[in-house]
Amino acid sequence: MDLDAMIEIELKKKLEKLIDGLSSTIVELHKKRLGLSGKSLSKEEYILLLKEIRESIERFAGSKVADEIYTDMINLVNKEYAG
Amino acid sequence: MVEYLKTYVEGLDEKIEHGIPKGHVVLVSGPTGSMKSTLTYYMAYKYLQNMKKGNVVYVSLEQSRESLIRQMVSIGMDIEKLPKGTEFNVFDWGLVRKMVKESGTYENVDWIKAIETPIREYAKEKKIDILILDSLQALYAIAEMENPRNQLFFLFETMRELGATSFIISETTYNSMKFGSYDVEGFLADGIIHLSMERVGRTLGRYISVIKMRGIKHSTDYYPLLVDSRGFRIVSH
Repeated sequence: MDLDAMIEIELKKKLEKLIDGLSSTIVELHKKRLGLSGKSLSKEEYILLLKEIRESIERFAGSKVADEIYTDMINLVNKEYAG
Repeated sequence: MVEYLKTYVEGLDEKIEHGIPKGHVVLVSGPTGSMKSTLTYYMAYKYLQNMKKGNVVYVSLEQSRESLIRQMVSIGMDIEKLPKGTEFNVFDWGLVRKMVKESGTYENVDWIKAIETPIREYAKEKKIDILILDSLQALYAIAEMENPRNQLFFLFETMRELGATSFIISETTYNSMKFGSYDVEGFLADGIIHLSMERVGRTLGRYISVIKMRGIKHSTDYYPLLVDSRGFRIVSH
């Protein structure tokens, strides 16, 4: 599995806890909004996507939940792209 | 031994013995403006404020999280000011609806499952004391109710299995004695709190009645319902 797919699976898993099977739809929507659909994402693009999704989670469930997911995902992106 | 959840509506708990039996699924029904959401939020807020621990989950299907919280803060209920060790979670499913609509996949979603599953999963990690679904009619607007009696039976059962005391908000019309849209909601619920409104001269008065509360001896009288800086209270006859 490539790095890109692994990060996306991890992100969707985290969102599933909040919105079940709609997590894929929401991730794809945010990618579409940013013009990132259907391509491999660079680290910078991932960070941009995570920031956008963080905003939506904040509106959905509040900043605490949003920050938890965002921080976990940013740490994962930093770790994986560093490796 | 049965434990009870107070309504914190001054004067009302005495009318229903000790309060609402914990674990009940209670329908809070009434017309627009009868303060269904505010009263339900108030009961949950007061519970956390007084117990100084516990967990509330409020599922809003229409009003945005931001708007709901702002509205409640304006009347003195700021969830940020609740004691440490308490959690008041508001989930904005109206936002998810809008995003799914934008994605073009709205019609393919099993909305009842989509909303139910995360709550079940959440309850495995943290005990939910109070669960609020606002509202049943918003759910009907998005979920295909092919067999309402069956679907609602399982929805109510899911809520019971969580062990939380659940409040389901149900929008009705003025002067109606129907508590839901399909005539089965009241039967399936363990309790019904009915909020009604009546015009008296130039004033539109609010009234509250406990129509049904399984396992409790209670009056079904309607009491004038007042709300001010002290909170909610009834005027007893």
